Amino acid sequence: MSERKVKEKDIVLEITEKVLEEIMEAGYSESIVSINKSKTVMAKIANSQPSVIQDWGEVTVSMYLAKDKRIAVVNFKTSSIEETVKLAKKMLSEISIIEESEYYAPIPKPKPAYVPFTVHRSILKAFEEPEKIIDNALSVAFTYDIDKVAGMLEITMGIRSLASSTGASLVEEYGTYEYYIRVFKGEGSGQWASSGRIFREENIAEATRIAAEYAIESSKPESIEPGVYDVILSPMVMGNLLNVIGRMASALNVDMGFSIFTGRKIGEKVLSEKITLADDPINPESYGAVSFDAEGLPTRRNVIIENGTLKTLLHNSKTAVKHGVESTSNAGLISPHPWSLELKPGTYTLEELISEVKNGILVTNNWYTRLQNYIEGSFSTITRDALFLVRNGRIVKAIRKLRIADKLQNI
Amino acid sequence: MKIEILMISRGLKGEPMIDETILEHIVARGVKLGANYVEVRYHKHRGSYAVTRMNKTISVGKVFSEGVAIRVLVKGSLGFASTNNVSKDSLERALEKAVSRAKAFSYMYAEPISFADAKTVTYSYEVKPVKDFNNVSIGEKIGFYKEVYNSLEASLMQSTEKGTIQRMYELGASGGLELLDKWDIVSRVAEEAKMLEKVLLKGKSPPKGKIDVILGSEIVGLMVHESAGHPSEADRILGREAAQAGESFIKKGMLGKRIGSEASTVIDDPTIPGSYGYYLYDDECVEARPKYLYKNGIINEHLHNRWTAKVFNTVSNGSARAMDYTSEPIIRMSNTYFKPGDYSFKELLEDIRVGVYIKSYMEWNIDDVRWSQRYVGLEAYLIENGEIKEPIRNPVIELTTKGFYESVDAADKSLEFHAGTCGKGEPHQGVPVWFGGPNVRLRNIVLGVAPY
Repeated sequence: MSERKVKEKDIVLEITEKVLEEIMEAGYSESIVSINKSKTVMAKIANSQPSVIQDWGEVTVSMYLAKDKRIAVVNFKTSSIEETVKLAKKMLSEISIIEESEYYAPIPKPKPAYVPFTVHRSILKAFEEPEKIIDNALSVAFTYDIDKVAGMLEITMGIRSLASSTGASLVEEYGTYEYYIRVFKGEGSGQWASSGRIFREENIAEATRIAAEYAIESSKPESIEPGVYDVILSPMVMGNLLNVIGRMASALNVDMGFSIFTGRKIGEKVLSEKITLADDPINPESYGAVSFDAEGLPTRRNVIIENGTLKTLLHNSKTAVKHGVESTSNAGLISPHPWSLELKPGTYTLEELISEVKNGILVTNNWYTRLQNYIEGSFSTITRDALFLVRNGRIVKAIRKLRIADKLQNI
Repeated sequence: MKIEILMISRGLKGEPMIDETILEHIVARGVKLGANYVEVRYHKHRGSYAVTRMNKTISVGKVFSEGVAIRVLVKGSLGFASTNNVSKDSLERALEKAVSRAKAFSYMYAEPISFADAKTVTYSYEVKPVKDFNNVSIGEKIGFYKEVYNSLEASLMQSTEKGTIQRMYELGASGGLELLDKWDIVSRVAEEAKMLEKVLLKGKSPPKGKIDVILGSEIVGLMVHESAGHPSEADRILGREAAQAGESFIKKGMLGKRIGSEASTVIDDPTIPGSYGYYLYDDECVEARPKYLYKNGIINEHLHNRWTAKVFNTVSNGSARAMDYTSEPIIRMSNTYFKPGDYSFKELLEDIRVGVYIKSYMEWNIDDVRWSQRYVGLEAYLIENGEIKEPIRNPVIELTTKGFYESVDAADKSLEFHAGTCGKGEPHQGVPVWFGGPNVRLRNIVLGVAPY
């Protein structure tokens, strides 16, 4: 890390602490101040050429402000620290007239186990030369006999700081990339993605190749009759559905009735025993890696569902007190949320999964997942891109779009 | 070389805005740096909210944002930069970034980007609230919420034997807090909850097979948003959103083709006073006007910005919107609705022997070319011999866009709008829209049922 960068990190933390000091002087009994300073570049591709190159520089200041068990949360997108402090001080008159929060809990004291993440040099390099990455990806795509490609590359770098009235004083840097590409051929298409905290050119090339191969293999799809089929869901489809389930594990969503876990008990069997779902923000390569949560607690790996059994909900200190447990370090200032979901892999290869299916469908991508009822888990989602009919253990043909409609609990 | 500049400021009445001479300076500097189109847009937003559960307040909150978006065309390459440091130095750096990033990619364009000519103007407008948000304390706002909650609680039996039913509904418009009185939320929520309770406790399975269906305004509004509005976005038609929201079943050259019955007319109109999707000039400074997307069953007009207008050899119809200072203007809907007909609701019902009336929904989805769609009814009733009978549970209509518009044989005279936040773009931009329509009648629809 360059000396200049280190200095910027220190400056951000210093400003954070100064804002905290001023806020506390205004008369709050507790507060947390967090500053996020980021820069992002995004290149979008459509019809095999760039459509727009976007560049953002942003400062966001978030604060948790409490007095007499009354809570306010503010989020200011401005670089004007003066304006931020002024607005935060004004909130004092607002919280003085509201009731005590049933979710109030004292801000946790900082814990020592804290290893800040840094920005990998590959991200720094990618940030400077996104055009080379896009150029290479297009070259890889057009080694195949395809019609056109569309996609997106985003690289973000930033500094995240936190200071709390219980003495937390934390700062970390982050750098991530996200890439997805959709390739079109005839009536078919394929989409694949890659993301993380270490940028590797070969991951971009691999995602591009998978998308191109799916596009070609699905270029002449046929229609089939709706019915009951076994389905093999690709990591992208399963990821989409697990995202829904992961958000439902937030204790506040459970309390609010936005979850299939509402009314269920810890230790109860809630999903198939093949499912072990964890939230793992401390995997250093994960796109969602983060070393401290919004209340300044060091993050940790939490197993939410183990072999189909609900092991824990995701908590901040407020929902934890309400549920009589400890925080799982998943704070949001009000609502807890997952950082980085991970489904425990099984022992099969994709080919082995296909080989055991008599009458089924391989779904490579989906979108538009909507729920009729969050407690009952009734949902539907539409497939998109390559979709294959599997008969007696073999892919027999590409098929046209279908809709999956079921209950999440049946997955 | 033709050089164009645009400046847009969006702020809050009575509050300091950015010094517009700084924006002028950035525009002039952009031209010097080699851009032949420069657009500088300033936004200042404030918001206030409370998080509540049952009849308790968990927390109150405020959001604030202020920043500038810059868009440039350099050598046929489109660059965008945004910052929330609104100092002159910072804006200069953002401009340089937009220009240098655009330049770095310019060699990859097989078809360089250019914009259609547009008559741009200097114009200013505001929405005047009758009851100003700032003059109502957070205490009063929470008090209003509690009144709604209490009337809801009082209206229900709280039985859990038949599981649960959930409903989300959004109200939105341009104006002030006087709208809360107009909407009469207290009695509306209580009445609706009572009705849903009936659906939950007494709802029967819907009839099977091909039947006639009357769709209520809320679901008709959603359907025209999804199956007329989105596919009419010319950027989707041209493939600009192919890796995100998808493409469109409408292709270039399909204007004039039949998509539905004579009764099917869909309009997008940003100029409706007081609407949630209200604007008079879009974010490329083009004057807004109503657009007849489908007219008497014919694909009539697409939603255009200045780039798609150029490709289609037409002029922009003012459909470019940006969510905030972090967002590029892209083609969006505003207030999209199915044009009412001349029937009464009774006349729609009277010759239906067996059918269903679907009034509201929760789950829906549509494929990425906006062709195959599914809607699951929430408040829905059986129709027998021209009369509305008992409630039914989770009726499903699954049909194609053409299947929908071809099946419409009549619409009643009513027109209601519903509020929503329409999502599109990468990064995701949510913009306020209305969607609406009358009650419409569809003939011979295959009805399904979702699990409950």
